[in-house]
Amino acid sequence: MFFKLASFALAGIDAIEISVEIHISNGLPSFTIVGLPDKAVNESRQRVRAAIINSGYKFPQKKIIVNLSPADIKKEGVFYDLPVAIAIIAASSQIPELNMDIISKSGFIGELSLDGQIKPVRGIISMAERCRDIKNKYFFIPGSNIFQAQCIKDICIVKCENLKQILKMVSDIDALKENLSGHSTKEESNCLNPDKSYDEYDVDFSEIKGQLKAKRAAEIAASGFHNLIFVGPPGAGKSMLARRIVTIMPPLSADESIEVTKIYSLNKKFGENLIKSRPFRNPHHTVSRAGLIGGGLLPKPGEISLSHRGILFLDEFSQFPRCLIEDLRQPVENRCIVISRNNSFYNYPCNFMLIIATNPCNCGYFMDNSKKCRCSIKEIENFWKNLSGPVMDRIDMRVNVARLKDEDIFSKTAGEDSLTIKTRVSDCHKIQKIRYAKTGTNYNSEAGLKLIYSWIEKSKEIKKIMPALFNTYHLSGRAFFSLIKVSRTIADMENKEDIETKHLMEAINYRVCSYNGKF
Amino acid sequence: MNSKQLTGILGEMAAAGYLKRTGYSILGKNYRCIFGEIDIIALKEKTIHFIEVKTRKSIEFGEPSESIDFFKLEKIKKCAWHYLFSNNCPDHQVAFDAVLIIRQKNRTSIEFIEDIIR
Repeated sequence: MFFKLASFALAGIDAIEISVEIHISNGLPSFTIVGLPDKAVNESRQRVRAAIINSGYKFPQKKIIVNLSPADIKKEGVFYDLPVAIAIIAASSQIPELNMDIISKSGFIGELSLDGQIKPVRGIISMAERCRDIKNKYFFIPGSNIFQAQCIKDICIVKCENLKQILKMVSDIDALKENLSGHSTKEESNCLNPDKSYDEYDVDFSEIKGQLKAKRAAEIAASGFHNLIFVGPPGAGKSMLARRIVTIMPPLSADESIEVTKIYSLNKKFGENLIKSRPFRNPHHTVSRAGLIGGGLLPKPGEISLSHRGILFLDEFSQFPRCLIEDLRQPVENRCIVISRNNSFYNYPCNFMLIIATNPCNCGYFMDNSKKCRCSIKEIENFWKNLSGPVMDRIDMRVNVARLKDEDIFSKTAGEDSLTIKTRVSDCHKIQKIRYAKTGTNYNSEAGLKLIYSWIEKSKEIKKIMPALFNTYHLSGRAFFSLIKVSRTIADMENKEDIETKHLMEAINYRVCSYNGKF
Repeated sequence: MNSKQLTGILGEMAAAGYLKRTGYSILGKNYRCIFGEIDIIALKEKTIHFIEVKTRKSIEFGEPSESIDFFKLEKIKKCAWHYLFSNNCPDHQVAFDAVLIIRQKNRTSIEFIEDIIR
């Protein structure tokens, strides 16, 4: 007896359709899974058998062959427990009123526990999207994955608690409808409301005294999603500033939230909820190449992808190995990373805001106001050499963070708190959202060349001074465009239609960092 | 015949009696081929059952079920293939079972286990 159902496998961030085919025949009793299963898939035979028996059905004493098609794609994970179990029960004619209409229009996914309970799996959003794209009507998923799957529209998500319940649902359409998660339910509107403020951070911008220029730079960077580097002596507050930038960024929009949760759910099980606050990743400088960029035996997204739509903060940048720094060149520019392997390639998005903190030299006090630097000129040269030029060129804003003076550190006046700045930043984001509506971009830092030229055309002042600037500061083409992008953000913050000279001047102020012309 | 063989034969007779009482018809006993031996081959409800009988006089050295290991099961499987092909019925419905017997002085216990392979 032959039976077939639809399931899904993960390939990078996307899911592909897998059809679970089963053939039960007479002969020596055996239970084989073919179609390049890995260890976890093969072990599912034991789980399926126990789950079927414990749900009160009979496990047929026959020759059972399961094929996961297309058979040349490696199948990993525990996704196929549920479809295989349903297929076995259905193929051995143990469901009296099986509704083939439902089966042929459904996708199934889930891990089985030995008692027949259905446990959550990873990557559920990608699978739900795929299920919708191939025009399936129903998607049967584990109950605890429901909050993530619900954000995908135009598909009926069916939540399943155990095997027995699901077998009732595939034969009885009324029972199925009871378990559909409607899109109008209260939990869902809560779960997708991006305007709700999430002040879950235990740090605040008002804790930073002085450092007005650095704070201003942080606000600009957050407003336009620009990359930023802080250079300064130890203890000046570089890391402190960087950690607080995420507190002034508005929470993820609904679409962004789905994108981010999609990546996170690949890495481990996030059974419960959507991720709504912006990611802030702060990897240690001993991070491995696969850990930072993504990869590994079974390719997984790395830190750059985990900080998608958020902040990647590389503290003590000079300590990172040279090769890791160079690896950042393409992802920073392309905003996605393709991990190529022998037989397949995986595409992970990584649209992050890069924040770097570093000392200006090995002892840390080069160009400090009061403390003397103990490094030789040669050592300083070597130090800056390690900070790759091409990567530095991709950083839009450079800020010197000097050590605090006594009047700053003992001042009683608190700075602005994160919430105030956040409202300004989110206003600025709204302006950009209107500008980039219906294009692929979201923020000024992603603007295309056509748009940048149109900004220059519009503003006569800029057109006049630009060539002089270009030559004076030996700007690269990329540096020039990033300069315009930053000035655009500054203009947006003042809600100005066109870029003015003062905006450009402020932007170039961030572009050119002194340090004896080191960068 | 030594006492070990006697124990085995007595056990197989007891098992055959038990199977007959529970509705099996015996197709063959001690089926030998190059792969090994199957103790009892029986038919019930269109299914051919290959039955391994294991007899112990005491459980001092372990239960009888413990002595049927992976290698024994592989042997039984191969023998079953041999039987099915030489009798021209490789697509027949098949099951593998075991009868475990403990013969102690005053009483004998018989246990029937279904589906021992997998």
